[in-house]
Amino acid sequence: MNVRGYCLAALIGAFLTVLLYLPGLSGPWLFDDHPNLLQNPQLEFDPRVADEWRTAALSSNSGPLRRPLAMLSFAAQAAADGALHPLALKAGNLALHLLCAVLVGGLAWSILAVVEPGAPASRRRLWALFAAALWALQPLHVSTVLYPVQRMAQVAALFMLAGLWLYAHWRQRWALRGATPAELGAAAIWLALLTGLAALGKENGLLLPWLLLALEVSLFRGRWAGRESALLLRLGWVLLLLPLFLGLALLLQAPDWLLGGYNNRDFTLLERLLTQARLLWQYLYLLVVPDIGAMGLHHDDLRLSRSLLTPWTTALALAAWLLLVAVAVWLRHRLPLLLLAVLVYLLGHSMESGPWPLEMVFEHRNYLPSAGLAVFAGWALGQGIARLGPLPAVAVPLLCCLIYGGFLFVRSSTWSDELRLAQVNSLNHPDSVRARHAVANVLMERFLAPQDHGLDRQQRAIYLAEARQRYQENYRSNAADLGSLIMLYQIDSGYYGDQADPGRWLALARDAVQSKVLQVSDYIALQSLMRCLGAGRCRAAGGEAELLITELEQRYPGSLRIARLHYEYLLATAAPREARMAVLEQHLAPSVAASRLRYRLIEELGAEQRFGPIFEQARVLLANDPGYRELSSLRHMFSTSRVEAP
Amino acid sequence: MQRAARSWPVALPLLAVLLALTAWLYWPGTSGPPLLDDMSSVLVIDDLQGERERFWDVVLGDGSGPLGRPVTMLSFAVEKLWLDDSLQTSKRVNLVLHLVNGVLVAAIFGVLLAHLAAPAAPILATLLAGAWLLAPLQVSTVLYVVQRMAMLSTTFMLCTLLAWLLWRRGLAAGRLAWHWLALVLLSALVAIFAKENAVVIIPVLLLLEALWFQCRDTQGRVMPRWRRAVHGAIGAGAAGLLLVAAWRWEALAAAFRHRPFSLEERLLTQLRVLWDYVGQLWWPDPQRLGVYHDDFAISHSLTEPLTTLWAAIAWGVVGALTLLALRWRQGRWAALGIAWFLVGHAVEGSVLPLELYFEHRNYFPALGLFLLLGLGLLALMRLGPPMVAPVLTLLAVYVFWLGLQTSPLVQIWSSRPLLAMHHVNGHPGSARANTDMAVLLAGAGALAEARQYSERAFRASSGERDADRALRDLALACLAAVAVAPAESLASGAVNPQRPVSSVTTLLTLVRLLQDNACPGFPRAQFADHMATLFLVDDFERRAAANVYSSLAVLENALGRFEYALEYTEQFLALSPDNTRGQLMKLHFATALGKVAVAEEMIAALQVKQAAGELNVGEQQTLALYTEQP
Repeated sequence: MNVRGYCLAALIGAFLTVLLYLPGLSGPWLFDDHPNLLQNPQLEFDPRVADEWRTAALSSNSGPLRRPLAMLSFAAQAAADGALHPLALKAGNLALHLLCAVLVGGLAWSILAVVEPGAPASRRRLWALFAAALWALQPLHVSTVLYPVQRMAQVAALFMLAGLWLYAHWRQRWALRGATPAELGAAAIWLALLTGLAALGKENGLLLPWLLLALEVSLFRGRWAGRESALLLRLGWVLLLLPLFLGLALLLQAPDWLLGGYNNRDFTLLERLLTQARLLWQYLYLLVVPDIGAMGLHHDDLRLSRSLLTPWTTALALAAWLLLVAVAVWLRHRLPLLLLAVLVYLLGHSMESGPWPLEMVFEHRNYLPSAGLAVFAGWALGQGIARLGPLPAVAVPLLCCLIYGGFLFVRSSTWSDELRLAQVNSLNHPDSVRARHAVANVLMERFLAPQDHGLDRQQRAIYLAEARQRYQENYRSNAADLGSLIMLYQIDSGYYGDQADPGRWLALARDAVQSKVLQVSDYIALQSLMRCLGAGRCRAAGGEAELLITELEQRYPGSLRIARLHYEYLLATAAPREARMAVLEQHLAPSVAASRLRYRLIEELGAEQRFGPIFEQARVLLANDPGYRELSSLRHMFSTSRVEAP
Repeated sequence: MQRAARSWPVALPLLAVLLALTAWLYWPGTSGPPLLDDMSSVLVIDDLQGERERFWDVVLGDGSGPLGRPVTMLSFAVEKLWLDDSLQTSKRVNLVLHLVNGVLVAAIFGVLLAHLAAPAAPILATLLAGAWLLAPLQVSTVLYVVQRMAMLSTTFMLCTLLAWLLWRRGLAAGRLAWHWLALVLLSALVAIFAKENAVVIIPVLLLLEALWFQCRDTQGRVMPRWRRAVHGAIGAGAAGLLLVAAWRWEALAAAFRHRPFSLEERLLTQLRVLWDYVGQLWWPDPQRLGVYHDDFAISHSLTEPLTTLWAAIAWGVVGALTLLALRWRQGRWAALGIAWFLVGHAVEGSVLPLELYFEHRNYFPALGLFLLLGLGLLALMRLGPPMVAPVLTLLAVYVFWLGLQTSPLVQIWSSRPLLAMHHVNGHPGSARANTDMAVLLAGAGALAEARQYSERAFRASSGERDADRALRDLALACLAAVAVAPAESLASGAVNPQRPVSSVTTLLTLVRLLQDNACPGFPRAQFADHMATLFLVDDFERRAAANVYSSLAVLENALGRFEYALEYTEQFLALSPDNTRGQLMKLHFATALGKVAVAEEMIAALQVKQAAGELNVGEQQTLALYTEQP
């Protein structure tokens, strides 16, 4: 295949990828899109003001670096379209996906030049093309590409892939003729810049230098200026293993730094690490075998590994990983790409599937780690099939792409409709509470807005009954599922008051609050309960709501989230302003950084035109915002209020 | 040179982008509030379109410096005459000037770096100019209208530099291009009349020649006579300044009597101030940036605070390294960057009894630091061609980062409340910042909170008297439209009656409010009576500064008590003899009281001044009111 043919094939591949993803582009907003994008007032900004771009870029609360590059891209689309639209954002993600695929192809091309220096260039091009196609058509990536907020993972992957490709390209040259200090310096600067850009997309970008070491030890193995350097090889291995030892030392030295985050999780560090050993095999299975029936947005049905033998597959998974790594190292001279694929996969997962107290499972975590596998697969398919003759050499990889593409299309179609997506997820993960919740929530949304979906009275009743049934199923599988209990209470209280005893659900919810560690979803449910109780839509015995709030405050003393719940309840019940402000002031006194509550207090003060305290609260807000992330909101507050300069 | 020429097609669009970015970032800030000296130098120029005859009064009538800064005042007058009276327009003109300066900086850096045969010199120069344009420290110059004085003087200093570079190109080629030399002299002169500290351009030019060009011709040969002249001028200048300083030391020290620090303390403090400037230019801390730095701790000795010693040692090390570096050609280039920064601060950062810290003082000296940064990057680029692009990209990232620091500051500067909050957050120990916050709160009707900040300002201030605070609290009550109890107004001067008031501004502010009858319920007469018991005394010379008496005369005038007003005016004239404003006031009060002899005496004195051309148009018009027959 000549260069022109290669480009044409790549273009056709890109076109087909777009076609396969096309049905899913019209899909809905999804979970984390809401807090990061839809409920983010900083993304409704005036694009003519330079600083509003800055505050929009820094407006995400995800991750310590705020992921400004990804947020900036969202801001740019919001500015171009006048508002955020899921279709536009998903199309943007798809464009990024194609760019990443090009980089996977480029990386594969450079790597194959090292691994197969004797192979004809046309063949190497073909293998690189397969690698890129397999990666682009991977059905597991649907939950990254069609999930707008996962652009964060894409932006990080984009710059990491670019860094890997550049390094592979330069290092190949250095292996043959060495490098000048200027070349080394330049490479260091470029790679540092790419690492920085990747990290500003998502913190995983910081893994780029570690991934470069994976390239170093698996492909180049100390080759420098046409010679083998044992020192360089050893240095590569030492640097590759160093972060593991440093991480361990840090954990021993300051365990609270990491372990503190597990206070809000229902698993421990050890349990997380043991579970990930199994989970990484599950991801691998989904990547290799496009079993879309096992894929999904929710994987909370995953059984946690409580010990090495609970379940016994934990020990097996761990042993299998050790074995695989050992085999890959042992075969590194014959199968360098195997070692590379294993290292890229494991190191690429090391941040989100490692010791950090993050949620257990997300498919988008495979976006970059799968690149090494794609390169390996492209090469293995091409190399293995090539021996059978020229026709199978093309036909078999094409067949693979066809299979992947077919499943991609099915999955993409599923993602085109909110209810269908939720139902398929629930079907694929019948034990997933979240999946059931998602279905019930969509049904409730449609029940509450029948005109948007053309529902008649009877259909509405069916939707409501079905939603209630789902919530009940959730309760049966998990008696402490606060979200379901609260929804059951609201439904029975609002629509089945005569036939049911809604107070039972509220009592159960109060028990659940006492027994479980509250998660973000629980707070959202409680927020909805407070509004319902406050507005009088939910019937509760006298003082029931206050009792619940008191119990929550006793269990989580000083919690700003609970304070917000309390405030929202008072707001919904139209409690006197003094009472509302007392709650706010009580919680704001010890916590200077609580910007949301402080804004609420400013609003309350504004209604009373108490400008002195308003200025003081605004000053405290400004003082505790060293990155000036809230500046646009503050600026707007003062430009629209009556408290502009005297 | 060829490589440099190839870079221009990239550098020019890059410069355009940087200028556009700077304009975009700064634009919201042009709608910001007036500050401190804006009131006395800019806002007083109102309705010039209606009174065109006052044009030259405005141009020649500013008292900010010994030369009156007429070039800057001319720019204000022209702007008011041809554009409009708004502060926003003045800020926009400042912004345009900043952009023009950015272009000049890029051109100068381009020529300087091309002389070193720097790879991609135009791009490097443009990015360094971008760093200077977007440095957050410049916000308090560009958006503070009256600092046009510093900006405009820099514009002409940059023109001087550019003309010098063109002149010395001819000199190096064996030609004497007199027209460029004439432009050098003319620009330098105009710069000095824009702001006096532009005089530092002379040593900067000499150092540029000695350290950068090293007195070489186009063939790289030293021009011996030229080198002797340059080195001689530097040596003679330095020796002369040191001699003058030593000879006039007592007089210089005596000029500090109205400052809360001595000459020695100022010099010691500047060692730390200069390091702070360096930090704020290269790695800014935006939270501390602003107009108010009166909380900057004074160095009373080398060990109090101890950081003075570290600062001195650090400057000593820099000095030693610079001297060592003079042995090498590259070292001399670097030495210029350091010398540029220090010499640029020589006027405002040394022996004159000025305030300790102002950010706008870095507008011109900052160029030395960015040149030094450029030389560091150039050293990296010289490692080999592959380093050029990444180093330039790194610099571009740094420039962008500086812009990200500047952007929120500009937004803060666009809002009066946010600016006051920012200042008090960054400088909780600043009397001015706390006073400003108090004024903001009082203006919003929050007197209780305003008084808390007034109290903090009092505690933070080293020289404020109880009466100053009491007067400020009265003014705050007035601003908050709160009626003041008489007892409160009488508190002024209860403590330290020998010299109760130190702040003329506070008194004048209150007097203006009372004059405008903006304080409902305020016992004006009672207050004026109390002031009279404090200030209409025999030893008035020691009681207060001259302007306190002129302010009180204004108050009595508002009350129609011309006897007291005349008495205050006479006290004012006793402390400021021959003051035209005082004489006109005396004429007015004497006429009102029917004291013909006194009035005629004043008319005679003023007519002598008029004949000598010492009265401006406004003063002549006022005098005419009393001399022309009805």
